[in-house]
Amino acid sequence: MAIVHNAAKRKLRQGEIALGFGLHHLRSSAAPLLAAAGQHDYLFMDMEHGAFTVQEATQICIAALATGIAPIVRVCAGALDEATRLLDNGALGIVVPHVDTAKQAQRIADAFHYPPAGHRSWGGPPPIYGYLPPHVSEAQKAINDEILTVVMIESPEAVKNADAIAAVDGIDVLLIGSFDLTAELGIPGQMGHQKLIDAYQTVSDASRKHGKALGMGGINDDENARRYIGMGARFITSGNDHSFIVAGSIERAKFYRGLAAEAGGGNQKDGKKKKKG
Amino acid sequence: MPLVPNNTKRKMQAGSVALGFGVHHLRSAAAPALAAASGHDWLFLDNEHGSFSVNEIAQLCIASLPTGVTPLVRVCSNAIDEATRALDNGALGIVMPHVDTAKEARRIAEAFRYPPQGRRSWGGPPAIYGFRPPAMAEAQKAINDEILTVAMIESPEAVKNAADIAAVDGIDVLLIGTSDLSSELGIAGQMGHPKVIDAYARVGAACKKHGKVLGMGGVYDEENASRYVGMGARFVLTGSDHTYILMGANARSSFFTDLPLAAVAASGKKGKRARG
Repeated sequence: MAIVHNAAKRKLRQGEIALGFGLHHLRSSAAPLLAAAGQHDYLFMDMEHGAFTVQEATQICIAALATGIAPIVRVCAGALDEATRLLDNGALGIVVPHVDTAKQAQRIADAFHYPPAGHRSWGGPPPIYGYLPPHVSEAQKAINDEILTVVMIESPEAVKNADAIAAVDGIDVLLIGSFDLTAELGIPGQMGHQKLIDAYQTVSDASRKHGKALGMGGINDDENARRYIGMGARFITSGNDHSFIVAGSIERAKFYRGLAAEAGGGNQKDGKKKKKG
Repeated sequence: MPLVPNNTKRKMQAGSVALGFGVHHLRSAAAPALAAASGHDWLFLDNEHGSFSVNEIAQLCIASLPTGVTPLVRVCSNAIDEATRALDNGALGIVMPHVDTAKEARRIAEAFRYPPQGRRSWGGPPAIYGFRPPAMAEAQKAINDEILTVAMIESPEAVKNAADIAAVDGIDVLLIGTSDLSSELGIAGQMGHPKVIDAYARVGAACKKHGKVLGMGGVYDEENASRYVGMGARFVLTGSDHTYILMGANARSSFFTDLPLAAVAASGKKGKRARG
């Protein structure tokens, strides 16, 4: 069987936006279908902050492969042992958070790529070939090219080292974790602060210089999202099942409570209650 | 421990609308917290069309009880065996689809209530008492009063029999399954068709006469939803995790896709990306 294409990586190579559908709550094979129906390109399964087991994450990865939605998993910083098992069982890419130095980036690139590019171990026929890979030398080379390796820039040190990190062969995307970065900068949640704008500029310049993609995480408002996409951000997780559910269900609850209030079936407390999200 | 109150039932007894948060995909104990965060009163765990195991249902029900969000389960038509196991393990009510006659309604009311009102079997300390019930006689009486039994009206026959169904003791809500009803009426999906309006009027009148609550399912647009809520619908399903996710996800993908791109090196493509 031919290798499953990584829709996110291919879009990024064309300079297009790749949109991610975050997963925190769902454990269903329906997740990639929902991402497709919601017009996204990749799944962003969050094992840094979500409670997925490796088994649960790989079930969703395998279900995603047939749909054209690229399954990408964020692991905890340093959890490279989980990352390689995810890659062995259907993930088309890994996001590693809190990468501060080129040395850390090299270690990641080394762990995720087969020799000679790195030292990833062959785990037998992989699902991204439908378990029917060609000869191992051909398969390893193709898989090395197809997977997406994303490192997260989330500290002043990482920003300072962005150029050296972007220079590391095998790193495809520098994703700015804007929440943690603003916290580390002493300006938590100020997504339009000059220090953050400067960080985006530094990391964007480094990415462009080395032909890497820039990613944006944690920016949800129009003004700031517009600015950073204008500065080149292309790898973007738009939100997750949590934020989608809460946004959609609040909208529906307001709609029906409004109708009920008009019809005299409202509740005095509803006005206060429905405000909180 | 005292019995967990059925806030949905109490709200409707006070004449207020009670909103349902449908669950199809989620299998997480976070589901009731999400329903509460978005201003809903009850969880609608749909095992008529979802693929839950009884155990998955029970886990969600038990997680829901301390949150104040009422866990309600829709089983398949006639799957009374699944319904009583859900009730034994945390559900505060059952939605039974496709109830066409008073006889069917009586069978349900009997299955879901302990003697003398019905013939439900005692399964040991129930979850809705935190597994520490008072003496059985007191517990059974209180549980009979607290659970919510919902019969779905989804056929012309059921509409015709609505008054008889509403008269059955132990049936709390007559919920119109508007999608299936419109199909059965030969006007599939026409939620504002006079035949549907007529059905709401008949079932609404039957409920009013017998002190039962009218429910509305499958009506999501403003024109029709406002009409049927205006006609008395108080047990209202707002959608499901499926529809909420797609509403939220499509809004976000449109937002990011519509933002202007910078001229980036690569192949120099500008403007909007192709839709995925």
